[in-house]
Amino acid sequence: MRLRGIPLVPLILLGILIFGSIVIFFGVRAISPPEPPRVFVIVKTMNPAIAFWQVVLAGIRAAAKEFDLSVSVNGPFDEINVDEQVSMVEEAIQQRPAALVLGATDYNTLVPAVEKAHQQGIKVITFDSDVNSTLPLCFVATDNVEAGRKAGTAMLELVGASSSLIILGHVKGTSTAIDRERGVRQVFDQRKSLAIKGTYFCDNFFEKAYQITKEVITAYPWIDGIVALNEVSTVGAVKAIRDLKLKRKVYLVGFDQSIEEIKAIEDGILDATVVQKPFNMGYIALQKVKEILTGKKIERFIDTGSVLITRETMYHPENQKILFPFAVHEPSESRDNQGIK
Amino acid sequence: MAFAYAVLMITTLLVVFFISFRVTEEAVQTNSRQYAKQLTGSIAYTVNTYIDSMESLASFLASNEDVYDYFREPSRSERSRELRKRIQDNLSTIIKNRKDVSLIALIGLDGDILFHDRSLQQNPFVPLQKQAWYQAAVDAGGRAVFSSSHVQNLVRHRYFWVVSLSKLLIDIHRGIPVAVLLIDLNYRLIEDLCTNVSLGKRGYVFIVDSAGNLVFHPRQQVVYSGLKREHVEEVLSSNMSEFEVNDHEGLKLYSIVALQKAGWKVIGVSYPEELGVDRRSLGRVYTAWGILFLSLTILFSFIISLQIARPIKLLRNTIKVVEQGNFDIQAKIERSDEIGELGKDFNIMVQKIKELLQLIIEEQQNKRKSELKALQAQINPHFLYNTLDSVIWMAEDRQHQQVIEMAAALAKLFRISISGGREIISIGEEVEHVRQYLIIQKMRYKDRLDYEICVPEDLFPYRTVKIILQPLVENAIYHGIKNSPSPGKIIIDGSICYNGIELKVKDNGVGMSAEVLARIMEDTQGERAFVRRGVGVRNVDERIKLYFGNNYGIQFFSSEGEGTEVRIRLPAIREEEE
Repeated sequence: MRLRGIPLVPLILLGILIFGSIVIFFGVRAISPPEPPRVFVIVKTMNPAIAFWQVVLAGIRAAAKEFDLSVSVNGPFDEINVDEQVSMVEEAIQQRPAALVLGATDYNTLVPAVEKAHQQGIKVITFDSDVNSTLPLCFVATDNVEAGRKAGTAMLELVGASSSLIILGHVKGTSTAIDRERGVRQVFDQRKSLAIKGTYFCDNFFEKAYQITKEVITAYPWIDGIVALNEVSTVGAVKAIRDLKLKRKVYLVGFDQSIEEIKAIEDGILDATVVQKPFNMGYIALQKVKEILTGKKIERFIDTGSVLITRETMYHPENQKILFPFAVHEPSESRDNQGIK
Repeated sequence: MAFAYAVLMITTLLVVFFISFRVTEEAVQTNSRQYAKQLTGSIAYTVNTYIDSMESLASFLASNEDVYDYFREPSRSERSRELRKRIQDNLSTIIKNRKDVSLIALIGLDGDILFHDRSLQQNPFVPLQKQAWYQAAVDAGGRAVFSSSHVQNLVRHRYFWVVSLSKLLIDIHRGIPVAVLLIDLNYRLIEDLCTNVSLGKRGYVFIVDSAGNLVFHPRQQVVYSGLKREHVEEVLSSNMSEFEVNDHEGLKLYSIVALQKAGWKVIGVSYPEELGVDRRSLGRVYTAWGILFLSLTILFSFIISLQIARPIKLLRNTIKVVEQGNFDIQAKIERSDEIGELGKDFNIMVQKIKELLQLIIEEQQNKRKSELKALQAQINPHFLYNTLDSVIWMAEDRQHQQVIEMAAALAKLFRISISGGREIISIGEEVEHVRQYLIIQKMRYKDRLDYEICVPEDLFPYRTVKIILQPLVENAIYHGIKNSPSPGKIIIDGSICYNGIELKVKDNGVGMSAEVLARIMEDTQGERAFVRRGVGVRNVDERIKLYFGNNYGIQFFSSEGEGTEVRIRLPAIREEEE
């Protein structure tokens, strides 16, 4: 095993050693930053005028950075476009992400898509609005029945014992609307003297909410109060009451915290609003995705909580933090333009 | 050996690298803590400079006489409107150049509000006196005060998160406070200052006010939403410039710098494990160097072992040759180190052994020479017996003259053969010796033997081994002439030629067959054949060879019935040359 007096075996060993170390040295460097897991988030609406979901996205962005996730966000422009959302989920499944986070526009229609994602091994969690399935590993949302009860209780205090009310919902069939209405009715059903004259749906269009409110008030002038179940329906109702100059005549309890609603609280048209924590919702949803992907055991339902805000309490420091999300704090004039014109 | 050497080197290398890795790691850790502290300090300094500049701006605005004039004038007067316009123009010029200021307002203590932008309207739902910044300015009595982060709702339909600087403006001519100056700072500059820092991958900088409210935090909303807990209480209660917190996020180092003027604290949070030193990349660098050194070590250890092993192998091969009896070989190691010394010593040893061996051979030869001397002595009694027997016979016949002759010849013969114990004598003496012998034999054989000695006298001074002619003559008599029916004649002749001296002993006896002759010729080197022909002849040849070498000796020429000629070859060495 000699080649011109130099032993061959040590030379070969040396070669292997050097080659191996080069591979390890550069190989480790190439492998070391592992690709962050890909997560698809499908929201109910991408309409930038709807502040609630913009804050949810802010929470998602913050969490994606914090938990090192590669997040793609998609969603229909209008919440009513359930079929569009279904096809978006299907598209997301094609991309084979590690996880799918879904705010379902419809409680039942999205079920097959969720089942399909589950079959492909994609971890599915829902947020804000659930689907009628046990497959999602986690549901991150406001306890909407509880939030409904808060709205109902606030309305009860405003209108007194014997009154007539209507409920203005957003999209029929979505779980948030179903649960909040249930919560409101739980409160009102305790009082026989209270009458809920009906539940209307605006399909999450400002204009439709405005029209419905106007028509209902015109048709039933004795109406004492309106409970609006989300941002869009609340803002629509605010506009109608303002235009009809029925401030303090028709009480309004709404949901969420767009600038329009804050203005309405300040000038007294909106008497109370049940504020959710959209930032937390987006943030916690991704936190749970991270926990699932790292193999942690998690609870089936995470309540992100809700707070009732009135004109008196809105500038309390802790309420400021919820009402005016800091994450979207660009102090630009665009903030003024949010909401309807 | 190479293996043991490599193991030793590798072990040493690993130990050295491990120790220096730990030392480096520790040093870098210490450095990085120092670095975190310095970085926080420099950010605090910049923030402080920023606060100073805002205070200067406030002082500058506070020194504007227009402001005091305006608040002195009765409202709705011509001059009042003019002053209001001038002040607003002034303010809007300032704010255009300051991206970090979102609002400047002058709030008269009577409730008259003047914004930098004429289009802004006061929010009618906000009670001024209840605002924290307003209250604080009034309480501070002319000193600039900073609020913590809050939503500014002074302007209708505007809700910005800001930090407010407020200052009570006192009309020095009248000595009474007239208004509150409000400057709202947005987060652009503070955020730029605090986020453009490298405190490792996860490290960050945040600011709290004296009440523990966040002035700035890179994840303000996350903290506000209760999703992340910041260790604000510890920061407020700590008197130290730094402390460590170990929570679910790992070990964190909090470096705190207090800003006296604003009452804020700037806190740099860093993760010592990732600060400056990336353990893995440090490890990688060390591994790379380690492998490089290791490879070189292995390479060199093999080269060195080769350098030692090769000459040793050469030496061993040489020893093997020597073992087989070859002492002429020398190990060819041309080096000046220990191995070279070893090779030289080995060569000297082989040389010594060779010399000793030579000595032993010579001793053996001497021993044989003395044996031969003894043999030589054996010849004499036999001949003496025969001769004395002849003397007795001649004495009984009363042939006195012949007795005398024979006894004289015998005496001469012995004198020469003793010749003082010398082995080498002159050819003259040798010829004389054989003459005496022939005289004795002639007297015994009478007419049956005739002889002639015609060795030229100029050969006489040359040297010869003694008693070489007599045995040949004896042999010629006993084997040639004795068996011949006719009288025999012996001629002793001599000549000098180019390479020595040649003596001849010729007889005309029975001679020898070619077969016998061949055997003699063949056995001249051997020993057997001469035994039959008498020890004498063999002795002659051996002795000549012993003293003068193998080139010399005797040679037989004979044919059956023709007689025999023996030629003795000797070197031409003169007596005096001894």
